[in-house]
Amino acid sequence: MSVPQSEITGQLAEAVGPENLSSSPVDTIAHALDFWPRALMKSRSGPWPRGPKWVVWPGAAAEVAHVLRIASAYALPVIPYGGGSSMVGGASPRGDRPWIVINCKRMCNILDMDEVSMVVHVQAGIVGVELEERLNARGFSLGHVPTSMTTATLGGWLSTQSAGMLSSRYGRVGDLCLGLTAVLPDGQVVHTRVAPRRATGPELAHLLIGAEGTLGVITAAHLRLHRLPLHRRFDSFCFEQVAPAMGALRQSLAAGVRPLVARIQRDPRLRRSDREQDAPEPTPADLSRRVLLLAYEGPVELVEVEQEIVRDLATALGGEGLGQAPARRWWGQRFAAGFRMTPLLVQDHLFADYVELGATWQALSGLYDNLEEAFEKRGWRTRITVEHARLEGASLGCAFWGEADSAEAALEAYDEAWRLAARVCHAGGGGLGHVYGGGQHRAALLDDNAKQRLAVLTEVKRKLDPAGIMNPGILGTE
Amino acid sequence: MAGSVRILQMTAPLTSADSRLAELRDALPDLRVSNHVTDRIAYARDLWPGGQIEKLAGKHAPEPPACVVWPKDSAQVVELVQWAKAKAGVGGDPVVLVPFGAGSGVCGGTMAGAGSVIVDLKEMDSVVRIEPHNNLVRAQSGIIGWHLEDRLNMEGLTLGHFPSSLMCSTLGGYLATRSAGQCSSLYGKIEDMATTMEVVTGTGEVLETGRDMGGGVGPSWTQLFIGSEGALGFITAATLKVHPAPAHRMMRGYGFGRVSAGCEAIRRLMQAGLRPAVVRLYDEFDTVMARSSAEKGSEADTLLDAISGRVKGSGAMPWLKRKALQMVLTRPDVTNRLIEELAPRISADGCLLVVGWEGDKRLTEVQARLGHDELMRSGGKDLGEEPGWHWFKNRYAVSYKQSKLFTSGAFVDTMEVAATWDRLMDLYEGVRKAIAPFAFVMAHFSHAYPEGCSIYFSFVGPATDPGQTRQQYDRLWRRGLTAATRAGGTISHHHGVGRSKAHFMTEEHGNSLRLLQTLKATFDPASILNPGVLGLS
Ligand SMILES: Cc1cc2nc3c(=O)[nH]c(=O)nc-3n(C[C@H](O)[C@H](O)[C@H](O)COP(=O)(O)OP(=O)(O)OC[C@H]3O[C@@H](n4cnc5c(N)ncnc54)[C@H](O)[C@@H]3O)c2cc1C
Ligand SMILES: Cc1cc2nc3c(=O)[nH]c(=O)nc-3n(C[C@H](O)[C@H](O)[C@H](O)COP(=O)(O)OP(=O)(O)OC[C@H]3O[C@@H](n4cnc5c(N)ncnc54)[C@H](O)[C@@H]3O)c2cc1C
Repeated sequence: MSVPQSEITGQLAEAVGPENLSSSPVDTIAHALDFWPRALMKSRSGPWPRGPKWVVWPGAAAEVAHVLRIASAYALPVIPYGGGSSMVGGASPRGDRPWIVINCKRMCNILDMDEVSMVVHVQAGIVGVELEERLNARGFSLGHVPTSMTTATLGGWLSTQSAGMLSSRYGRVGDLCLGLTAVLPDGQVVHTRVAPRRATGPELAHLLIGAEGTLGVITAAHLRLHRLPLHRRFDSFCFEQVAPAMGALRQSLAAGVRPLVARIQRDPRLRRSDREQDAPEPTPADLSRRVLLLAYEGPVELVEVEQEIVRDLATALGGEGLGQAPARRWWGQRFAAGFRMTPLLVQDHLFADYVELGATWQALSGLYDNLEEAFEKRGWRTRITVEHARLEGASLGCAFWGEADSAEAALEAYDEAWRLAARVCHAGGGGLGHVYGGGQHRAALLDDNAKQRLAVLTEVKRKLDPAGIMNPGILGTE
Repeated sequence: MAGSVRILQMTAPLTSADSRLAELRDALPDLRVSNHVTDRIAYARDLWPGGQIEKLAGKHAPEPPACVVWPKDSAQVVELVQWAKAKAGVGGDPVVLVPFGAGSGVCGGTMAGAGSVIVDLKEMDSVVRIEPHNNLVRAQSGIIGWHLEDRLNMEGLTLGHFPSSLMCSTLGGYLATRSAGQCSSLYGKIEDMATTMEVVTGTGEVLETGRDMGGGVGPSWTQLFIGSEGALGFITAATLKVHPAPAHRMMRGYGFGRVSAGCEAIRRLMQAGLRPAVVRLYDEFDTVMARSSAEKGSEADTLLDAISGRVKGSGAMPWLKRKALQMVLTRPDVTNRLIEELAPRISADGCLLVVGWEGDKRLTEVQARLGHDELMRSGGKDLGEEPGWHWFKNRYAVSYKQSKLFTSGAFVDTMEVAATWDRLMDLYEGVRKAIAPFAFVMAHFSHAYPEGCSIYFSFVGPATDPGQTRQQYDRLWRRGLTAATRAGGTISHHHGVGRSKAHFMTEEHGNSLRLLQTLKATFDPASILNPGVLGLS
């Protein structure tokens, strides 16, 4: 197949302006990889992957539409690109086709701010932290705070139905979305309309939320906000095991408490950096201890009552109050953890990633134990955190890492680790891919029900994108 | 007896209906099916008031379904779909399947026209399992809301979904229409409750739309099937979040001089991070309705008491009632204006705001206290607990038995719209003005959210001349919904679109309607599922 590339270049330049188009290696290399650990691992021994043929930076939906019409005409594959922080290869080209990457970051303006309804209309290329800061300056907050806040964009969040560290209170990003604008593969710009709630058919924004760029490019959204809180409180409880910690959290949520943060992790006092010089090595009992970290916000009297309720429930289940300090400390370092893993991947024989799965409360503690055991048995290290807790369940975020004898062996071990995680997850009734989406990676690992849902996506995609230009290969699409 | 003879005459047996039945019996011998005339008439309409007006004109079932079927399980639903699909393939008279819950819908959602096959799901009504530790329940979709709530209550749980039609509507109906209950501010609408559903699509595929614990990879098919009004598939079962039954409940009434002041107070309440279970603000006239005793008589009586009470203080005399009715019915425009003029003078409390709190005792008490302070700061007048409990006691008084007003020569209906706060007053004024020439109109604001609120208009218009009434009625709706979209509101907050609002789907969704059409083409390519609803063919 011969693609008249110069002709395409000319047309793209016309669409976005020559200054917003690049085929220079500086740009194509930069857009060759996202944060998918497997691809990062591969690149450290093999050649740097081929980047896209073109990177464009459209400034408005109409320009995106123009680009998509060109892509349709020549059947060129397109990747909508936000911050490139995808953990699953969703934003990086694959195979050796001539890809167009649509970098959305020029579309980063707040279009309207309705302070009465507390709704913001904002373009999708805005980086998370910038949006939050601009909202904070006016006394508002979005309440969506993923660890990748400094890198990821609104469009990336919506496309992956991202869950942030405040999700117990504010939900996933899709729960904050009241309407959006998207460009469909044939260049039509559609707006889903804003209402607090409606009963006029399915909520159509949900076709694009979570679709990971396979159906169109999201260019703007209306989001509900809340006021910056006047009060924030922290609390922490220590439990001998993970199960009672989960029990306390579950009961608190059922009672109607809405914590800002609720996570269960290892006892942070065991962290090497936090231990006294001459402290004894941790015992097995130390290691099985788990700490429930909590934060609350809202009117102070309400926060006090919420805190009281959780304290009563935690104490009844054997939780020992540790006061504000551990949770406050975690809060202070809440962004530090995120990119800690990345340097690992530069070292040749290491492998690492983060398994995230969702499960109902009853399935959760079994999954927790089985996952930990399965990984430790292979000599791989894990750190499991319970996060994104809600009424009916929570996510397990399982960071794992290990060392192999060679770069190839590391890749093999990585794949094996994921197969193992998928087996444990399916056997225990969990749902894989609960936070980061599917990208190039997770589709094959999913259970049959989830695969069937992706097959449906493929059906829809055939209708909206007959030429198959939108992020083909993602979420099991062709 | 005379009545039934008349009915029989009006719906002479259709031969096409009979042949359809024979085919169906052949293809699915185990399926319970009826083409008895009583069934066909009973299922010919839902509770769309436009249909009630037609009934007044003597048209009981001009386009009756061919038959009614009662599948026992989703496997039979699949067989039905396969059969209909096969029929569609060979041409001829297309088969239309209509998912049917309890027929309490108010927009003609199940009225698919002559020859359709009504698929009543009420035999699929079991609670599959209750998982108290996961705060989840799995139930089949044909279960009546009241029965589901009852089962949960026995386990010390609640779904928190309380539409006024709780006793005469099904779980599947709620999901299919994005229904809202009276405690939506705390528990959410039905779309906030469902985590996953089993659906049988128009291709005959059985799809589990999500997971017990939300999330997952790819778009949320759960959110895309909720609200699909039977046009994309049969919802056959669903998993929903449940809560501990409330240990404590507090109710209170507040007075606000004007509707706009009351709205502003609700906005501040919702934006303060509080979560009341019930928030209902009645406009001047609806306040009188809300405070008068619905127990003692019919809706019509209450209405007439209220109107005549307006005119003469309290205690309406019969002649005044008749006069009042006459006035409402002959000159709704004048009545509306009169009420507007009188409103400020009539009730010292102005508009009534009912606020309720429930849940854990400590959380309820602290929120009620904070909410009270917030409402007082907003200029509310504390009316004590009585108006709150009064509402609570009468919360199901809106009856599924059709309003007696219909037989008093009037029609009644409701229009439930919503908008973000910045547009809410425009929406209120706009729709009110648009409807006022045709019917006597009142409104309350319920279902409040931090970003906006819904408005529930009730209206009564004259139905003396059957032919003209339908015209007036249609004009009223057209004007009302046009005003709603012009003001930037949605045309429905929780009743759905059905057929009666179908021609407003473009105004409502603009070009994003294409996404809905794509879903239709994907899930029901043969167009066998409830064509006509949501403006889909
Ligand atoms: C250190 C680290 C920490 C992380 N922490 C979290 C976390 O706490 N919570 C969480 O949910 N995720 C987390 N992630 C994952 C990642 O940040 C999210 O998936 C994020 O939503 C991606 O946003 P992005 O703008 O970087 O999108 P990209 O990586 O550029 O793209 C992600 C996917 O979305 C599509 N896409 C992007 N923009 C658009 C658009 N405008 N229209 C249509 N499709 C589009 C892409 O095609 C791709 O499929 C983390 C990642 C890293 C590296
Ligand atoms: C007196 C009265 C009070 C009301 N109060 C409220 C209220 O407070 N809140 C509220 O939200 N509504 C209210 N309604 C409206 C009505 O009760 C709701 O729309 C309800 O959800 C309809 O449920 P149903 O089972 O009767 O559905 P039906 O009327 O049988 O059907 C409604 C629509 O849903 C489709 N459908 C039904 N079941 C399924 C299924 N299993 N799968 C797929 N599609 C299906 C039908 O095809 C149709 O399009 C009220 C109605 C009345 C008469």
